[in-house]
Amino acid sequence: MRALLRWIRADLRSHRLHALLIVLATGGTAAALLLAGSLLGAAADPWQREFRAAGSPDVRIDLRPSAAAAGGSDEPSAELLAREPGVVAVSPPQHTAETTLVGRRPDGAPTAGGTDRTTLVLRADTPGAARPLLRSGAWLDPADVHGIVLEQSAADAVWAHPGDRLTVLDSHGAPVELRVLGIADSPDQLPSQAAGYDLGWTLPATLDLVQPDPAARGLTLGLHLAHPSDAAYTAQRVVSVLGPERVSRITTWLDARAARQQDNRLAGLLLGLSGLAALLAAALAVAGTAGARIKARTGDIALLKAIGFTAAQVAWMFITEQLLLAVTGVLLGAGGAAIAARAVPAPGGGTDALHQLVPGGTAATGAVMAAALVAIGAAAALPALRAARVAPVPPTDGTRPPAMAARPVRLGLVRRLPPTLVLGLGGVLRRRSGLAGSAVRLTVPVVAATLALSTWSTLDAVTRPDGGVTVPSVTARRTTPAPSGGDAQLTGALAADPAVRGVYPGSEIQALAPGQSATLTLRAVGTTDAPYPFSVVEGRAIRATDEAVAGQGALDLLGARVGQWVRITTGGTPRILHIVGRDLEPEHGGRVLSTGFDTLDRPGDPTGPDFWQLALCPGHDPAEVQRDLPTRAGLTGQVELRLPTGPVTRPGALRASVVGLLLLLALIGLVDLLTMAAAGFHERRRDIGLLRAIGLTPGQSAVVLAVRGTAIALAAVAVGSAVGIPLVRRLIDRQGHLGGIGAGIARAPSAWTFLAMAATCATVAAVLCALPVLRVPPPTRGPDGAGR
Amino acid sequence: MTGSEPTPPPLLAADDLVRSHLSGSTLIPAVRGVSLRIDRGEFVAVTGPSGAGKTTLLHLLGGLLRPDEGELRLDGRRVDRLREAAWARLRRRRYGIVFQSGNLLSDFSVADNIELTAVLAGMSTRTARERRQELLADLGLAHKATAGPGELSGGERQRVALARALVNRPELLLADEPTGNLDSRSTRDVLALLSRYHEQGTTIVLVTHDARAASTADRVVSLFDGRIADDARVEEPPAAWRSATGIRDVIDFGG
Ligand SMILES: Nc1ncnc2c1ncn2[C@@H]1O[C@H](COP(=O)(O)OP(=O)(O)O)[C@@H](O)[C@H]1O
Ligand SMILES: [Mg+2]
Repeated sequence: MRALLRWIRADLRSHRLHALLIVLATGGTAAALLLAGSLLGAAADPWQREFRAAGSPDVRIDLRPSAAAAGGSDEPSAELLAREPGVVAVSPPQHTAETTLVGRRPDGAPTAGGTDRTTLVLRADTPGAARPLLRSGAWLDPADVHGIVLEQSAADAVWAHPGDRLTVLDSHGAPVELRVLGIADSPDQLPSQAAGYDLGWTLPATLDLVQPDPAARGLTLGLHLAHPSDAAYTAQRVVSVLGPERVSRITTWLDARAARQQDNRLAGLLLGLSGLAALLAAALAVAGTAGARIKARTGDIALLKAIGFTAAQVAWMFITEQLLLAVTGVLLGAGGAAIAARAVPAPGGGTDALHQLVPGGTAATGAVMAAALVAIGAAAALPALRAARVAPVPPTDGTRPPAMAARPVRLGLVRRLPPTLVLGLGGVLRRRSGLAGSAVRLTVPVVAATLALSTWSTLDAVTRPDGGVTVPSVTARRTTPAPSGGDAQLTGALAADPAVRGVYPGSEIQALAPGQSATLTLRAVGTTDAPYPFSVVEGRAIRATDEAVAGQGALDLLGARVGQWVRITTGGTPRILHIVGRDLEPEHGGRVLSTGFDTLDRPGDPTGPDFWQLALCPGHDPAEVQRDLPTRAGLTGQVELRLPTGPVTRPGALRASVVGLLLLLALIGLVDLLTMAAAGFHERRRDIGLLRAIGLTPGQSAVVLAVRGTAIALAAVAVGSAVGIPLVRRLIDRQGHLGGIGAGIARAPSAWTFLAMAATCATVAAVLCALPVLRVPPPTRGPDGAGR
Repeated sequence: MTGSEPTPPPLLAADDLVRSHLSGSTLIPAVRGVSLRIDRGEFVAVTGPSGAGKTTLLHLLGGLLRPDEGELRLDGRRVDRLREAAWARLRRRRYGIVFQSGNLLSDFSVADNIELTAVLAGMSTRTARERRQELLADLGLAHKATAGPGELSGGERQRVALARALVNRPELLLADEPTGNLDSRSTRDVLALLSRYHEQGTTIVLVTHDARAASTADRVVSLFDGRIADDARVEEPPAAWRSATGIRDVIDFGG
């Protein structure tokens, strides 16, 4: 319709600033959502790529030894599974043998402590079966029957490097020595902590060495599915087809992904939430401006209808106009996001730029853009429907309510308040409903900004070594045999370093919860006399032997609460520990019980520390300590230092996103403030004309409106932060809980941040409200003067 | 429409129109039973004191308000029950309306205000522009094409409103006190323009409480308290514009 387009063109031309702001807000929102999506995707994607590269099966099935399960032979099960609906291929079955890993020796030298006892599952390399991705070293050598390729997380857990020798116990308990040829990552495999066993690949002949009885060997096979999303259902089917007694474990790609992508999830999720809040804020801002403009132009709309625009045309006019702006904005936003993604390195640390990591690529991008368009179109549609209902009769003059209420003015005179303040507050008090709308609209970006700011401060706390979430520390381990004099010289040298606050002997052993197939880690660090400063967020610290603090993951696994006694077994020895507190445990998905080293006094417990945990003085960066301490302390070549696992790696890209989001929210807030200022001005311009006629200076009348704007802005910031802080705490802690680190990492921004936000909002509101007043001509024109 | 029939129906025929306004919870009767025939080519002035219901009657005639009771016929066709969208389409092509105030889209230039109406009436953009230029030149406002309504004087604004109302060459022009706030010179200009369009064949209903404005018309309808108190011809209309049936004045005090 030409007339419609013509109106839109003329209207946009006469409201350039408004149009520009809407375009920017929409574009910014779309960009923020797209980037947040990319970040979330990037958190998962290195895994996704590798999963594809390794040709990993969607479902992995571990079968019990046929002797134990008394089931049929192995081959029929593969055939059975191949006939299952949705199964595209079954990988060749691989035999497995369970062994006990009892020791590791670096480069052939005897190990220092070396009493970890963990289950090491050997998986026979079978032609046609998916091989893991080699990270270091080399793949199996057909000539070397003692070679093993260790799974990455297993190698990490036992500090093994290629070339190391491992001692495992064979089926008769006799030691067999294996040499680590390489370390590999298997994307379909749960990390050893989550799986409860370590995994290694060997030649089929090696299995004969450690488990000569074929009937005592397990079997593992993988299923490739036509629709990977059916994995959970297929897993159920598999159990019923093979029989539950036959299946020892089923993992789907979903489990594997969930176990691996906790790193950037927290931040990506917060960003996504802030992005959604920004979308809501942008939609509300659009609805607000559209509503305010329609309200201010009732006369124009009536006239349009009088000259022959139908109600539907009027509605479409406004909706089309807003959609045009939104489409422009979304397209610009998508372009901007693409450019930004190219510039920002992937948070996973890969060389790929973020834009290559958008999951689902164009489909997801399209969905985000469509969602933004729908939200903003809907937001514009509601006020447009109101416009459609305007009667085609232009309002006559004199239908306005009386300008000034007498009461607040008199009240002000009694208290000797400045008249401008009284007039301004009078306006606030009398038109509460309209103001509530303005305040609510402004509240949403404030809540979103609180979210973004909290993301920032939480990131700050968890990534800065002295941020206070966990104690900054590094772990030291001997790389050479202990001298006859014991460890005193080494610990002395470590403790003498200025960065080190304390040196605590430590050892980690695997523990089993009764009735649970999953393992947890029992970490003994410090002693009852010199306890390690665990970051206890609930309960209290350890004071006696057999007391422990638990990570959230351990509590969940054991189904225990702080204050309870729990029973675990370590290397066959049952143990009862009193959980006296919960600490923030970023490692092993939080499945760690921490206790004093002197708790380990049972037979079979390590006699000496495997490592030393170095608590650092505040202000020292663990990475620097890791780099500089060995040379500084004259221990080069004698110790290996490791950094603790943080809940968030690579915060740089996230920081940039938070800043971008804050800018966007500022823009949306600006749109809201402009709307509020324009509405307030429209509502009170006759009052202002009158006030100027009776002798208020332009400055004074500007103050009248500025007071009003400031009051609204302050109310919005107060309400927004009051709502936002508890909300964001809940969100972060909930995410922390899911990740196993547990509640307690959330950090609210400082009060100063909020004061600054309030001050900025109030100032901008005051200026925006006051400016148009200064431009009102003195009231000399006729009733129709100066346009409406 | 071309009047080839021996007795064509009047352009507009109102029969016993009643309309009240809701003010708060009370109904204020504004038009209490008005019957009126307006023939093609007539120039009717509607006068009466403030609050007599002149504006309401005009809005009823233009379909801007729906009558509570009574019938309205355009070219003999019932229009009082038309839906709002149908009325909008009627107004686009056949009506020109000038309001007492608030005639111009406040954020649009004079040119945009006029052309928008023309384009809506179905003219091409080019014709609309030509017609706008023609009208503004006629009204002596060619130099104000790019001005906004706020930059115009009251007289200029009413002249632009007239241009806007006339741009679609309406058969029927409804004007509500177009000279209301104007000085005598502007009043004279506006009235001269109305006369000119009347001479060219436009049927005009002019609401006014100004006796001199009313004297421009060839028929004066006096409204009092929502009813027609008097309906008189000012002088014989030019023969050319006399309809075949002659002018039957209907005076009706029914309610
Ligand atoms: N929108 C309205 N709401 C309530 N009452 C109205 C409205 N418009 C007109 N009135 C009332 O209807 C009566 C007639 O008004 P109107 O038609 O405007 O008269 P006139 O144009 O002759 O001054 C008056 O009493 C007026 O107060
Ligand atoms: Mg009137």
